[in-house]
Amino acid sequence: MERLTLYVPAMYADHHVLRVRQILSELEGVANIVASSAAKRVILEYDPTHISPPDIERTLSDAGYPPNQDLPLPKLPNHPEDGSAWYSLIQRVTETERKDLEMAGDFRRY
Amino acid sequence: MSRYIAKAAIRGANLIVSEAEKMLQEAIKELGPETPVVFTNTAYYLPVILGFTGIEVQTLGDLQQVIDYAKKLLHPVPGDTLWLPYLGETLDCGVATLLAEEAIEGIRFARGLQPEPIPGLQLTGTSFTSPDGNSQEEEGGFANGPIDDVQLRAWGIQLVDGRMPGFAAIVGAARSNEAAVSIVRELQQRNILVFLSGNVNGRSIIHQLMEEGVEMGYDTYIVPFGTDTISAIYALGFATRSALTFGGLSGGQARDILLYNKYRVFAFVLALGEVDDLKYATAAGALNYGFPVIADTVIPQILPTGITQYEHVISMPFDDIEGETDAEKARRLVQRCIEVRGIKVKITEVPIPVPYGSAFEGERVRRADMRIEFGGRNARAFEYLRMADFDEVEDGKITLIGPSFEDVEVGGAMNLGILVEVAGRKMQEDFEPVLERQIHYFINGASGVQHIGQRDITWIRFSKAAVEKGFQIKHLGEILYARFHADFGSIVDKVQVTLITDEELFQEWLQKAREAYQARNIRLADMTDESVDEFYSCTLCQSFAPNHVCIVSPERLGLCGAYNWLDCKASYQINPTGPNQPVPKGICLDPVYGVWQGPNEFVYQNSHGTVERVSMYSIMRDPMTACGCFECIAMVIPEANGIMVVSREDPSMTPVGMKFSTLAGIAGGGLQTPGMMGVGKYYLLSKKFISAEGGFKRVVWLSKILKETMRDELQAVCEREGVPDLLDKIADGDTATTIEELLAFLEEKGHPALTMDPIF
Repeated sequence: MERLTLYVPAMYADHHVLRVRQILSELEGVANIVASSAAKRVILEYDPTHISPPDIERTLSDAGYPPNQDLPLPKLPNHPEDGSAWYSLIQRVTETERKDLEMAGDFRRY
Repeated sequence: MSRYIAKAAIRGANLIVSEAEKMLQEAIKELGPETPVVFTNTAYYLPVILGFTGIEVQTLGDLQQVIDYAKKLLHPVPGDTLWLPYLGETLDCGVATLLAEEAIEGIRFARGLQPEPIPGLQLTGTSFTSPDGNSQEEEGGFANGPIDDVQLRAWGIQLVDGRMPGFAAIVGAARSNEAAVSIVRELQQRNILVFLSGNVNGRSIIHQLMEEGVEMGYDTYIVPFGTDTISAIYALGFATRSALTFGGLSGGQARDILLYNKYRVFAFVLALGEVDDLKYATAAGALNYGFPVIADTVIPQILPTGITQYEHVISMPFDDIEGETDAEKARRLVQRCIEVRGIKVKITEVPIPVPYGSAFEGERVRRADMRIEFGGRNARAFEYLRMADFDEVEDGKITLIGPSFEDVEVGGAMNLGILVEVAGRKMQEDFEPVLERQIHYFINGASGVQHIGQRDITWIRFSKAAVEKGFQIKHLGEILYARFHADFGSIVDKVQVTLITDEELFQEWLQKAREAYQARNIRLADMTDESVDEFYSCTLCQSFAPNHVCIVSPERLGLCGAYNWLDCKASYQINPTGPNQPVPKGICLDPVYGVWQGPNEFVYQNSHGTVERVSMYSIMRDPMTACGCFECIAMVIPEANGIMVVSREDPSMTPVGMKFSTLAGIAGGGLQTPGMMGVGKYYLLSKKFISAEGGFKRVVWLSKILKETMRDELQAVCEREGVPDLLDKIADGDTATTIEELLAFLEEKGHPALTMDPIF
């Protein structure tokens, strides 16, 4: 068995870990899969007589997890002309409001 | 603010929002925009979305505006060179993440992918009458998914009175199974609700607990939501609904909902294992609620207080925690979580060989796991608490009279009498049943011990595991001694427990106990509103519903069903400055509607001027307000000239076209709504039940579960009202789900409400 480490930027959360593990575990000749969404890396062992790294990478790419390919971030509207929430909806305050002070306190004393 | 965290959270938020949008577009294309999106048994649509935006999502098409809203809250990922104060951006992105996560769960529901299948997972139910009862019927194999409104309300009273100090949202997987079990046991012992989600390398703490045979479900306070971080949104949905249900807030009041949670809902996030971008982003969402995050790995910390009351993000690497075993380290980790959130935990040390806490109250001991049972089909058990003179009671004396169960075969049964004798200067005979009823909760708190019933139909089981750890009959005495002193110390000075298995003595005391039960029944029946000079208030729920006041009289118990007049009286003795204060009746202003000067003044003052008058016996004129913990909702049906009563355990449709959960949104929050009120189910049996409008004869529709579980008591009420076959004339969910069906049913049966005076 040989070891392979892949950088999979699309695996940024643990629901993708479940999916990636499922895809890889269905491949013959692949074992001991470790997938980390924090490191965005998959480490696995494969049997070169059954499967090659390009095959593994292709399977992942087909499922939407292309190795070594950074995930494009969505394009955000330009602030502040777009009237986004940051500028229009949310009132930023620097002092504690009276209402907040009234809500504080040891109300659970009983 | 940590740039690392800000960067990860903002990146995670951007990615999850765009993923949610993509999923939504695909789902709309495949299923159509009109496909319903419904979380099970809730009136709050998708609660986080409702709370933040006021949008009532009902279809896939409705989710598009949510995604658009979330996109507006997104910010660009911080650059590597220019450092800025990123807190605002991070928090906004946290909210965007939560909106996207709930949208994803909504889409999954629309596709039938929620609750998540987890093969082999069996959840414990909510209520049962036999420990062997519904186990065969449970199909299992699924995570819990979102908590339903019924359960939220059922937990309401425990959340407000401090028995349940808060909740822990655990995300990921623990270092070892031993650590996982230890973490949840530590939280259970403190009665903290545990919500589970997330995974690390495909393995979740849910799997770990399953492997270790830990019971999960509502009954044990451990609720598995799913194996990914997205399902952690249900925990924040629970928090949002707490504010909507008990705080009288409405969808869209985002700021108030967040502040409510910061000050009133004691929750925290415990991230076990590695923390990825989405976990950072979700944590940022939780920070908005004032919920801190504690991780057991090395991550940057955010220590200054502000959005949260104490630190925001804490790193407590598991390897660095002092302790010889994983269990010991887990214990320290939980301690730290409690410190960071400032949770007030009230626990009583009980010297028994098994873990002890309210979270074990719902545990079942099935026949296969049982070492011995007392009561049930093959034996009898009773419990009797009586007041005695000081010199008759030796404090701390615990005696077993008769043989223990060593000679009884495994899985066998034997008779047991539990006699608790108490003495105290403030003790009164009226408090005997109040204290006796606590035996159920006290004994159930022991892990591996199950208590059902009361009086002479008590049924107690010890599990094999508990007995292996050394649990014996005398430990029941230890529990009762410790708990009565801790919880009722101000009225009880001395406690002595005698456990009787000796047959002759057992029969003798059983007889004495039955005589006492009979005497109490007569005393309670004689107790009327006219026979007392004062009622009691209950403002326990004001920590959640600030303007609500319950007035509890002998003939009208609290709407939660947990406090009757005697309970309140005892509670006042225990804590004279507590939530149960005597309310002198004063001048009677209207004997028919039940209006007195004293309760009016008390309610006005304690509802902060929002409620001016209260009628004790009317649903139409100045009815009592409700918090959110009510057992039933009574509501006028004008067409039928009567009222319907819906139980919170009834998830079905009512004739007014709304389910309990929707009705509850109108009835709760401390608002006075003529024609509608929250009531305790035993109030239905009272002579004073809406007596101003004609009493029980006005009931035209009743939840089937109430009809079935209270049939004998309700039958007695029908006879008292002079219509012995009234129960058969009252419709239920099987016979009428629309007004038309209801009217046809009432006409056919000749229901008396149709010929009574107009209710308006």
